[in-house]
Amino acid sequence: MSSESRLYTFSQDTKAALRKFRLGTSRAKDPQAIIYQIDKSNMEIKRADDEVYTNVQELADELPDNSPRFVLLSYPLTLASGRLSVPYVMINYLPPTCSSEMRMLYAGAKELMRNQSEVGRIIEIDSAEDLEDIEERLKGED
Amino acid sequence: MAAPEVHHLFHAPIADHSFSADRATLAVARDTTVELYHRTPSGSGPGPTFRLQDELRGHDKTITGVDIAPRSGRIVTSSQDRNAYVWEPSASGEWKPTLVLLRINRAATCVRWSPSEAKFAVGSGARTIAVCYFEADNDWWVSKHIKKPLRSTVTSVAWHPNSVLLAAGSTDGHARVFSSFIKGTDERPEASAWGERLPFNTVCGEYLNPTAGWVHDVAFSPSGAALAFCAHDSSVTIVYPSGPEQPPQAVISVSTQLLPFTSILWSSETELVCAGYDCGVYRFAGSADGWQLSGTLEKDERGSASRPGLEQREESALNMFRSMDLKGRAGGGGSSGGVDDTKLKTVHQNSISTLRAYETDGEGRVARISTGGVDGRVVVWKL
Repeated sequence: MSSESRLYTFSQDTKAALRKFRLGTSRAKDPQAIIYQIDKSNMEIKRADDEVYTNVQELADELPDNSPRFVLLSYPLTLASGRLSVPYVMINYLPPTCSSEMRMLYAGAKELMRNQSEVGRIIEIDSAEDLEDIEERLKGED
Repeated sequence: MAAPEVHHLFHAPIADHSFSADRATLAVARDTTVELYHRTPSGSGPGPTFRLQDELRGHDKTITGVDIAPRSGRIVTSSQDRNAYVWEPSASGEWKPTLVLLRINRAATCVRWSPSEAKFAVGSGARTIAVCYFEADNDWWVSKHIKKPLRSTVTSVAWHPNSVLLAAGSTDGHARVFSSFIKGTDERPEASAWGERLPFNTVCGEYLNPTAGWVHDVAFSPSGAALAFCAHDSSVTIVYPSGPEQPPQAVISVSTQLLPFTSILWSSETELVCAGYDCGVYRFAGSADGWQLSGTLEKDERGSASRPGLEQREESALNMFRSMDLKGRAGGGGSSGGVDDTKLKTVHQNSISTLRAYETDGEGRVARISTGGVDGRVVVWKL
């Protein structure tokens, strides 16, 4: 585990942003998502862009076809029992067309990312279409 | 008709062959390796010969397709081991292979570069066509699958000049035209008789061979306005589409009494050249109004008063006496003895597997073609 933290780096800004996102989204009314990518040149994990996505469809459009990404998602749900719950999860997006090099890069960083962002659980998806039933998956696993 | 240039390379079947743009290098699939031959000018003997220059090893099973991209010089190979390799020439003369993960679980049967050379299509026994393009961000060849209406092995693929439309012949008896448009790699194609807005995997046309025989080869006409395919029922079908979602302007099917063709090529908008199990090369001529078999490229043995005919008769007289001497067989005009019947009358001694365009003249007509066969010969014919 610690060997990965020597390979991948987080800048101080990214760590602060991660913390702020985790703490600040539990009161939101709509889904909040940020896409993270790994910079191949310096092995740094950082945001893919500066947008916070509130629409699942927009998020699905933004995910690249052939590269893996990490998405931190906070999704307000109303469970069958009536209870309100805002699970904070990490989505490991791994399309089957990506190269082995990229697969290994993101697989190695998965646990590190989980610990750094302090998410509840990780959901694996392999195509942007799978995002459409994210709500069902979140409800079903609670 | 000038004599064809015969190159008997070895005694093994040639599944596919391809010439480089300058026609100085010939890539030939020989079992699990690709042999690269270099043309040496006619030093000894008549005409240029090909000398073995390099071997591309990497595949584990029989290679089913080889294609050299004319401008970039890259070679793509497909094999029954479910892989494709892209071979890049390096400055030192070494060829560097890059494995392309096709993600198919059956053999790859054929491969062709698109005219733009940014993509290539691989037909497979897994009922899919893998269209592969290079993604620079990941330094990786990505393969996208065309699956939808395909119900059996894809035997051949052919590209439309716009590099977006792809024709595929399959053992389910259909020849289909797909769109393989890839955002970022392709430019939007102009609207044509095949269709307008064409997202990936759109079926622009689906044509069934009347007897549902296997379709061996498909080819677009030089302008892309027509599609020809040959099937195992010894027929050649030419389709002229009229518009998207509309019945075609004309579907002309020509049946022959010959053995089935395995490979076809358009030499101009009104002429087709075909070759197959008959071991000979045949021509078809026609237009949207009708097509018919117009002849063969083989030497005419009987009757022709030109030089080749004379030589033929002289040779057979020599052979007749020689066989009388050696084998005790008396010769004679019509009797079966005396004439050498251990060789086929055609140039190729076994089925022809691929037909390729060798040389085009100024107006875009194909002037010379090359054929590769199961007998290990590569022959260049003059049309």
